[in-house]
Amino acid sequence: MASLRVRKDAWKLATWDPTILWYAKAINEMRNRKVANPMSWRYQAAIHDYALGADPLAQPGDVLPSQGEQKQFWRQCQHFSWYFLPWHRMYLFCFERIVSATIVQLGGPADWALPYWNYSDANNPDARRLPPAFHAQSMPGGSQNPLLVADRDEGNSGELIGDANDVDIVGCLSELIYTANLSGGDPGFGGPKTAFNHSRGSTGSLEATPHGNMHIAVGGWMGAFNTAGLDPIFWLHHSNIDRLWNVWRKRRSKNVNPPDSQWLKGVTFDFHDDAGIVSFTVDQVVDSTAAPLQYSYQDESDPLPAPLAAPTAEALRSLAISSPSIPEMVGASQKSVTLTGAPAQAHIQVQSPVGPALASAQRTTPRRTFLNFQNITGSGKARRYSVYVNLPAGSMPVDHPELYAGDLPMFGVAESSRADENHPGSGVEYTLEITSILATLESSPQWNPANLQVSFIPKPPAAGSVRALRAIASPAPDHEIQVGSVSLYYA
Amino acid sequence: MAETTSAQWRRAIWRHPEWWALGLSGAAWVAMIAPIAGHGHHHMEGRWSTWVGEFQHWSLMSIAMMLPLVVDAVRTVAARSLWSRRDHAICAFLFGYLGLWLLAGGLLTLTLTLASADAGLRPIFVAAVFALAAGWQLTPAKRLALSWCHRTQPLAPRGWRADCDCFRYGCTLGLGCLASCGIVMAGCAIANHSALVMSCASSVGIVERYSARVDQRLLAGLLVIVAVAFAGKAVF
Repeated sequence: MASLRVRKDAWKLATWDPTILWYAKAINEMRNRKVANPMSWRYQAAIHDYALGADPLAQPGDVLPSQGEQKQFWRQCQHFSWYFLPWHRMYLFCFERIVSATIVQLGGPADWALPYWNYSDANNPDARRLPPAFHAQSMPGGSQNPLLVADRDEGNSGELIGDANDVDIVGCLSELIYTANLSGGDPGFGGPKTAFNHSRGSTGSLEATPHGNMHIAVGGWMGAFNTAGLDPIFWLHHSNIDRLWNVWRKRRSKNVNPPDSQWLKGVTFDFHDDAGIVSFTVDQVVDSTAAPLQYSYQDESDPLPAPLAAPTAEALRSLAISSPSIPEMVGASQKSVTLTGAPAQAHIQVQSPVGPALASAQRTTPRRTFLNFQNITGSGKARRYSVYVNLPAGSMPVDHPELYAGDLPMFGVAESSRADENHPGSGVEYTLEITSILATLESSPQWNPANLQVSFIPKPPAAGSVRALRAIASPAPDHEIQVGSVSLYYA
Repeated sequence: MAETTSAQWRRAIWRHPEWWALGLSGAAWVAMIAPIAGHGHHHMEGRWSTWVGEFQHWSLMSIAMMLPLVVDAVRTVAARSLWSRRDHAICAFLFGYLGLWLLAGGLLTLTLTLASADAGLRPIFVAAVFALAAGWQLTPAKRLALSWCHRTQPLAPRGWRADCDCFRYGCTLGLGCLASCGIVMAGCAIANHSALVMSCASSVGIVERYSARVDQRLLAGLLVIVAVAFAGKAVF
């Protein structure tokens, strides 16, 4: 049996460890290849998404692949879908083979494996900084460093990127089911059941945070579908996301992938690796240690302390899984909310349940509560927002962590807002569980179900970052986002 | 404690708010097929020049064939509505959705009635329309229309705004579906709502709506087969 490639933690490697150095050399070589070459840097990035006219590496005289080839291989990224994790696993695997083959061609080792960026490592105070090689001004020897991308909003000065909530993995790893409930309930670990999807539908927990948060926190090329793959850190970021899938599966025996044949075999995805065209179905990639993948991660241990959540929350989740309830909407905003970089609010009038949630209450089944954010559309540079519930007027959000519901990363909002052959243009959806928050609020004498206030607080830029400097130089909003509806569900 | 049978039925209905819309569709299929089985082809030809009869058939055909294609949208409407107004919301959505189909059908059947084509030429027209539908199936515009059929939109929770939003959502999807499936439906109407043709057309619609990934060339091929069959009928 062939030995497994081991994908290593980039932060546990020396700055220019051979793994990192050969990665940089391979990128230089791949960037010299023509865009129509499947083993070129730009081709690999275009597999995720591509926008003609918005390619920062476009050259005069570029000859793109044929329309037929573009349709088969480009703009294929699966988001807001249960295919999000397996598709990106296939994508990274083929990319790794191409990089590895390029490294061999350059005289390097044959066992190169893509490292990962573990920004959530609680034992590493620098985890949220880019690994040093990714913001070094030059490579050893003084040549230009391809790992440094000027177009990043945070990280290039070595500063901490985002905040602790951006890299939170408690939320996603605590999920007990893979597939989301499409009717307003649990978003699931892996996302909702969809057909071959290219941006439509609700967002799974892992895809939202830390995946979406870190795309937007780093920003620049990483902040948009069509340029994300051009930033070398993209691949280490997704390597970490892929690792978290293994971590989730291993941390609890009941954390299982969907058994549905539609997920396992319903769609065939086409790629190029170093040998040519390859096709995968999901069932071929569910085990990263099995052929054809045959890789593992340096650390797939459970990073969460036990018990992972307050006993009440865990018991609630377990009960919910054993007897799945039917979510019931009990209130929603009457109109959309516009976000342009300043705090904003939505108001929900909460009604008493009359359907499944009432029946569950009569059976004394513990209730879970979810906030749904539907049809989020917009344009401009994506910006993360934190959500708080019933924040006291005039108070600082940071003083009320007990009212913090979660983040809306907004990654993919602009792309999902455009209607074309692949996108219905309905925008993005998120779900945040607020069971504990609402239980606390309802027990308070000030609780007023007629006015549940949901606050959207823009996340501040990291100190010393390009984003922070830009905000000072040009305080005008650089985006406009419409949250079509904010609704409350009991499940 | 195990659920009672009635509680299980109740949960099944809760989980499938689209049940009565599908029931309407099934009833429409029965209404369309039963008269054909009972009265034969000759009776159908006699009603060709009667616009009202044609419009009635178009209406039944729209309900029969299009409602199964909007199950996901009906579920979305139900999920995004307060429980007490779920069925009301679905009704408002279907009014908007079917309203557009009936409007289109009214114009089409009027045109067909006024044209009063020679019955012998009808198979040629059916063949031509299905050939056109096959070609349309392969265009970017068709894919855009199909993508439009998967749209969702926010719905207000209560009041006239909620009714308007549901109605508008129905109209939005109706527009997309008309663009996507209108040519095929026109072919079915010109083919005197033949059960076999309707079944083929329904199959195409259901496959492209619910398959995990669709190869439009296969579906276009099925439509070409229908076109060729009618062309052969015209010739022989």
